Amino acid sequence: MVDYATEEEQVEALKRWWRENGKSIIAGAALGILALVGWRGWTWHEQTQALEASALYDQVSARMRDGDRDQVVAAAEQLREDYGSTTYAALGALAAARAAVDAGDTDAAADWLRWAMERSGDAELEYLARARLARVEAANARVDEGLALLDVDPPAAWAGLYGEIRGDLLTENGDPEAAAEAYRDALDAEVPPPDPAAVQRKLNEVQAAEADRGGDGEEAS
Amino acid sequence: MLQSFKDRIRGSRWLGYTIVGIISVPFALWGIQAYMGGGGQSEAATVNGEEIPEREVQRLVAQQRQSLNERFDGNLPDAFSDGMLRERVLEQLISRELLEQTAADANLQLGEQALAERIRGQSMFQRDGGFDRDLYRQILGRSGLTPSQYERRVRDSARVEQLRQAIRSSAFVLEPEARRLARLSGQERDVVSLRYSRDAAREAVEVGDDAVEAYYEQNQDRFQTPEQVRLAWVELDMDSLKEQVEVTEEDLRSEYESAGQRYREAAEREAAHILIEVPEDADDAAEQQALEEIRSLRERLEQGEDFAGLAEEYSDDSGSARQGGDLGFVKRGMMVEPFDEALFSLSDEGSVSDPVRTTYGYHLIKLKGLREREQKPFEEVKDEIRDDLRTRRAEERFYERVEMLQNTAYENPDSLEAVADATGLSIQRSEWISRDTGEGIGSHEAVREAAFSATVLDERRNSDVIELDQRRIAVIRVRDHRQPRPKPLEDVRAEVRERLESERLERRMREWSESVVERLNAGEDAEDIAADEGVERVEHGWISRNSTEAGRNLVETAFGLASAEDGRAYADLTLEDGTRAVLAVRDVRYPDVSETALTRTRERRARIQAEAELRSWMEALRAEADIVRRDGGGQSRQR
Repeated sequence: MVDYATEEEQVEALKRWWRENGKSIIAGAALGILALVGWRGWTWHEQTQALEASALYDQVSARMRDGDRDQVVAAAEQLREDYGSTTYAALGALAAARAAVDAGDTDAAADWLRWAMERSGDAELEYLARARLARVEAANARVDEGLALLDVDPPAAWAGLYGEIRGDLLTENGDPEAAAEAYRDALDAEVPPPDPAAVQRKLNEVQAAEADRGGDGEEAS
Repeated sequence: MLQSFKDRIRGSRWLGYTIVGIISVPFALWGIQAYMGGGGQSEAATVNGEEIPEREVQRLVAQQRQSLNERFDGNLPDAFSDGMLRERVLEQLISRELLEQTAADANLQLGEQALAERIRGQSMFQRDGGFDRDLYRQILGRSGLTPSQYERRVRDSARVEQLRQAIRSSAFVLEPEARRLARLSGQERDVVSLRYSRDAAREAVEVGDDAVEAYYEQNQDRFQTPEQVRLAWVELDMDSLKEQVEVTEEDLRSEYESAGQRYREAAEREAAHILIEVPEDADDAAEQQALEEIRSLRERLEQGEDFAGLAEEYSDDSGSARQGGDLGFVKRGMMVEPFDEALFSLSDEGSVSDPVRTTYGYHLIKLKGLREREQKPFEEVKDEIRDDLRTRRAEERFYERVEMLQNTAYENPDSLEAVADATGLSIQRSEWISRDTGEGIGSHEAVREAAFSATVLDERRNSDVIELDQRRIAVIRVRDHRQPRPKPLEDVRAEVRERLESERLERRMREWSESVVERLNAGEDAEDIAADEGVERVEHGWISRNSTEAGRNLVETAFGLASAEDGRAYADLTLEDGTRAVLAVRDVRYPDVSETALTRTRERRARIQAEAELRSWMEALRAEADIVRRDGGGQSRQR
């Protein structure tokens, strides 16, 4: 650094420096504060949204316990309208889909699940919604659409669950050979399908059908 | 350096802005440390960088151990080792941490009102049918939590529960899915079986002497004496060291003076109680009723009624009730925690506690007398001190000698003489020991393993120090070795015959069942084959999956067959009693699925489906997470 001879010179130098840089420092500080306020404001907004959505979702689950399907759907709709970017909206959609299935309205269930799948923003919830949607599609006689949904090569944890559904849909499609393959994959998965004994029975059944079509009726174990 | 930096800042105004911007970032993120935990302490695992403190793991292990101890009345089965409990606790904590992170990432929130409702609703904070603020503070204080810490915990676990519940409660089963499952599990099969008993097969099997000899010749390796060694060894034993330790009267005195609290009696309190029993998982109504009952007893006491009398009449602890509720003298830690806490917070003799909730129910506890800690007189504890001292000194000597033993044995690998000289231990000799069994020193698996190791057996060197148990160690060497030798036929004739017979029997039965399956496949009739072979034929008729009459093996095999729609399928199997059987499925039918069966299937499957989806979701989170466990010194990473 440069040495200054006297105090006055020093003060002078400081003043000069301030003249040269003062503006940019003030502007920089202002910018920093603005960013801070913006950031805080944004998190506050998100938090408020989430809190309101949480309360609304609590209503969804309470109405679910009461078995009041219409109210479940109404609350889920409000979540979707007003808080569509929150996870609660996706959870509400899952609940509404269940209510729709219980009411026998599988078309509505499919709509809700598709929305949840596309909007959840959470990979694991997406896999969950996707698996459910594929089953609902099959019940709506849209087996090919269901199979297309399953065509995503999910992580190992979902392989058992997906394998069984794929087997079910392929059975529905009249393809026992591929169905047997899918059921076998499900049984071999690291995280097993919901009820392995049931999958074994289905496998058995499709193997019989396979044998009927001219394959060999070997023993299954 | 600084100068040039300054120049550069001056040169670019935007660089200036940027630097100030960067400096202000930490302020925006201020407060984040509060969520990051203390740091610096030892952690049992980290989950995505978040630490799970070792302290927490140990606390929960201790807690589980205590509650298990209570459940098993102090006789904890060996299966509950500390390692196993720790493993379980750690996995639970990892899951919890992971779920809390997931809930936080999803920005799940719990409002003030919902939080308050949750806390107010917890029965442990309620008194006189409502939330009690003082009780709340008191209970938190006892577990060392501030209200805000506790509220954070409630919030965390409520968010996790919200998420799990959302996944579980939205699971469903579609009608056609349930119908297919119900139809499959209701399936019936028409089954007939042919049976070839062990006795019948035995008659068909003949084993002549020449066959026995031939079998013996061909299977020499199965009829041999095992490879064996004889050992020489020296053994160091803490108990015999202890016998050699001398302790003077003076030592005892100075130990007594310096040992402080050790040779004192623990504080004890003489207690009595009245118990109104309520199971831990009782519903609110039962809980409330018990609470009212115990409160009315408390009032009657205040009006001057006799504690012993009330205990005799009302206490559900029948053992103590007969003695007027008397429990005798109680040390701290003998009772369940809330009981202990209440008893030791009473200070006046004759005073009675407020109702206390434990796992057993509600108690009123009376303090009947106190006995504080007192130093026991020297003469009374002299023997105890002598024993303690001798143990301690023996331990010191033991570890010195272990080291000496180890070094001499290693430096003089070709004999035990030097070891014996250096340590004053005598060399002992064993009988023949094989890899699998041995007497005396050979009964220790670690010894046998060392005896047959490359260093000790092939190179004939001294072994390392082998721990026999916590108080005994040994060094061994091989002094004699013999290879496996064939046993003479005369000694093993019966064994050879038995093996050969059972081999042929199994083969005979297998061949029989295979030939029958073949004939059935070729279109022959089961009846004809049975008559032809002279074996029993059993008509089982239509059986379902849960039939028990035909035997588990047969039902499982019958339903395990992928039978063609025209019904025909065959399989051979061994029944529970060893009989060989061939079964034929003649036909398959599906009885109509009743509405009740359908509903039952659908409900059952919905539960299973919900749990399975939750499990897959959880496992997927785990697979995604960066989990590092630290066990002992090492660490393992699961990605």
